[in-house]
Amino acid sequence: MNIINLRNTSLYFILFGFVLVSGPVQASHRAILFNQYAMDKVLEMWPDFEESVNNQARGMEDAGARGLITQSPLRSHLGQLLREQPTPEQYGDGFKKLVDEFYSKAGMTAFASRVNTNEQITAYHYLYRRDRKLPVRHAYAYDLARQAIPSAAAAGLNEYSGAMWDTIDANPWLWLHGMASEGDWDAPNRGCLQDDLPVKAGVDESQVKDIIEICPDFSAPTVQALMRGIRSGWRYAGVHGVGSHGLRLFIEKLEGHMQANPAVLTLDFVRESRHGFAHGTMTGAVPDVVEGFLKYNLYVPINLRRALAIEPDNCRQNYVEACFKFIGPVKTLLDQGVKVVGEFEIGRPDPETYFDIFDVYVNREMEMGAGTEATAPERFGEGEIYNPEEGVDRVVALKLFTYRSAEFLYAESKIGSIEVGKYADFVVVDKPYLSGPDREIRDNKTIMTVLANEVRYKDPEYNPTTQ
Amino acid sequence: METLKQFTFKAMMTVFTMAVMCVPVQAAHRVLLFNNFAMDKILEMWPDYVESVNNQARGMENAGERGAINQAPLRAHLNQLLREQPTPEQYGDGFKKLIAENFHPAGRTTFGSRVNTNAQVSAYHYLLRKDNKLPIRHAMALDLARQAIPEAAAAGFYEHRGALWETIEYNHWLWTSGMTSEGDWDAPNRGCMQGDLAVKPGVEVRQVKEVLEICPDFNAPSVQALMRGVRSGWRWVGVHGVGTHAIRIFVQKLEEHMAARPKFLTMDFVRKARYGFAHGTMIGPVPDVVEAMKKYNLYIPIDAARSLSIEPDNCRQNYVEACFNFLAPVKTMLDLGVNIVGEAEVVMTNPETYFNRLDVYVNREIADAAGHDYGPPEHGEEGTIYNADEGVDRVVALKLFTHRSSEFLYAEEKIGSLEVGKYADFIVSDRPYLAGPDVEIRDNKVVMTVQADEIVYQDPEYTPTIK
Repeated sequence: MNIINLRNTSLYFILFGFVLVSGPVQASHRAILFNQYAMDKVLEMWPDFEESVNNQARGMEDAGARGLITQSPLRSHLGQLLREQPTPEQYGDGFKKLVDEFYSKAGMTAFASRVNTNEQITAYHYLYRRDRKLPVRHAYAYDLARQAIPSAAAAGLNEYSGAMWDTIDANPWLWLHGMASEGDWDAPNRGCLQDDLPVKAGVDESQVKDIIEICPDFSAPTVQALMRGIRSGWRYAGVHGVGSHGLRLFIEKLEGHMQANPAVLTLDFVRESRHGFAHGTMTGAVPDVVEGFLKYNLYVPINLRRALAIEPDNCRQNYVEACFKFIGPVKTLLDQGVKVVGEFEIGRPDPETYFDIFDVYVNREMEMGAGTEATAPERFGEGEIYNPEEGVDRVVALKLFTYRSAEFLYAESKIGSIEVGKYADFVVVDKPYLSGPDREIRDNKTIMTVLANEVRYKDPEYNPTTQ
Repeated sequence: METLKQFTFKAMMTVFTMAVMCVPVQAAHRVLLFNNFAMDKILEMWPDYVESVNNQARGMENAGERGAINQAPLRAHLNQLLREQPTPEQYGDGFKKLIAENFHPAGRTTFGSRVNTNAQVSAYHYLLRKDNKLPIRHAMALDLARQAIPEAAAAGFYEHRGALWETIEYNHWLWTSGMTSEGDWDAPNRGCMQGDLAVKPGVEVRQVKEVLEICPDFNAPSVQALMRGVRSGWRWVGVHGVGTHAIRIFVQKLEEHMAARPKFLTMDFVRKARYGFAHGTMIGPVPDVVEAMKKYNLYIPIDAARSLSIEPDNCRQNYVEACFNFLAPVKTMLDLGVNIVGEAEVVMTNPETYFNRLDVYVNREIADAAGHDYGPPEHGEEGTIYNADEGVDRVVALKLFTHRSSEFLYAEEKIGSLEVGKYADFIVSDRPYLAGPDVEIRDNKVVMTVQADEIVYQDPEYTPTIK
């Protein structure tokens, strides 16, 4: 490791306001599988389990007997049956451990996440009341996907509580930045594309358009909760927005609510709400959708690592060649003025994680054979490069994860860049991130993280000297 | 007005953190009455209105035909039918006007209140996002009493949301201090006394104990909401707690929940939650109830002026002589170590309001013609003194409305007394409140109010000079 001198040190101070949208989101639509013993126990507690699962599974044969739960309300019900509820203290200890061992080391000082259970909310608030701070700055968004909650309660939950979303100006450690939903709008690998992207020759159209692609179901209580939330002044923050048509549907619904409630949902109100999505692995750059992004000031997080790791196979298997143009067209969207946000969602990042991710935004190279976990390969040239013309400058990549992310969290007045009047959250990296060859961005790592005037992580080999 | 000297000026700086529970609470159980025209219009919109009201009215003859609505969900439903919803901006303008014209001239710089509708919650948060402050510091408690909300949603509302209650440290302008309920536990003039207080000879026991006295109905969704809230870690704040038996029932339920969730609802957690009530107009020093108040660190607001204005008639009409011992025994309760809180719930306050209220705590004299104005007599008017031995020192009276109130709002670290590290919210009164005859406390008035370094009210005749 280089011993860096003070001049260089100040050059490498980088503020990270990463958007980590939720924990293991990749499990969103993955099935839960039981062994026979577990299945027997579940059937004891939940006698009509098979029928319930079969009723709600789409395009699957006898999912119930196989224990394949694809629908969130069923998963949450199962969770309630099986879990011992942690106390806020136990939950808080786990959260601190996660932050200390992973987030702080990776240089994460602020993050946004959906919170899937009421116990999480209880625990975060308990921690805050007790300690007057959290281990990391946290913008959270309500998500009903994993709560066991009656349909009538779910559908109105956001509306009944009033549009109580906050910004970082309300509180620098914990703020509710909107409502969210995991998987109820669409989902990565199952993006809602509909007419924007035809299936390729030889593939059964209804299999792709009716079964694989998830589009919002407006009779689902969770989707109704979002719509009634929009109507009553809530902010959309981190709802899945993966495919171009899923995003178009949001715009159409938003316009419907604006017409129905013109005194509250003015264009100004809507633009200032900064409604935003999650993942964006298949957004494309479809003209009418881009126009909607710009008109309503929508924020579009694109998880480029995930997009390049999973969507090429989706393209090859299901769609015409034009599909590849939908995978993370970051530069095209930025050039058109769209508020693209840097996103990743690795639950256990390490000091190199973010630099691998930045590298992907610049070089668009993915390691091969690594499946859904793929990232930039160890050395440049070892992986596959997708649409290199969509690569962005390293400074832009950094800003997508700092200033733009802070805007998405409604926090740019306090974090996102190092300026007078903002909090001095920053990291020190071991090499000059802003210079050096593009292909070596992935070789950087975090060696110190400072959050709220406290050193939260320091590489044991890093001993800064003041000159 | 005399020009104040530096010395007296200093001595009169007092912080008011009045706990004003809710906008017109006196209407809680008052019926709504219509003329025939209104009745016809309502029947057009709500064809089974008469049956709905009759089904839910207790001890009233044909309430529906008379348009007498005494149940909160029905009132809420009616409101939804009749009202045009204000925009957050319109609501905010009304709020600002109320504060500028009534709250600030009265010297109020912080208040605790139930919020009855989601539109209110939306508006407060909208104001905070827009201005980064509110016109007054506001501890709000969520209340379902006047919302049109399905029963399944109401019953689980707090639990589904997670225990997200806050203290002033979260945000010093707006914090959610807990969950609450107006009239669902018991109510002034209808306090739940049961075995603690016998009816007087000649009065039908059933009429008083089953019809007049309101005790919590555990089948009611709003009460279930509170119970599930306590179970899941919510703070109870400003729920009606008027009669001794109502408080005892709360304690019994709390103990059941603690027994069911011993790892979560520990004694420490419960004591730190500072559960608190509202109004307390019939709280007598019943030994087992007092013991529980201390054991679980409960906060007991007593609105002495309201108690002495309305409850004597209740005593004379319905109960044995011992009833008068239940009328705001402030000194006895304080001597026993109970956390009594000063409470006033006058909406259109003026510069004399709080001094009139403080006077009642000291002199316990109420104007005979006060009716719903709940104050001491003006000069030349007749008054009645109730239990003079329960009067407290003027300093104690002031502290009940400042430091103790701020504890109740979970705000004593920032407001409630003038100390280094707290906000300098204070008033100037035109006379030396701390000296002068007790009987003239009522003659004081506020001549200046300062909140967050800003003069928010100044009497036009008051022009301070610095010597």
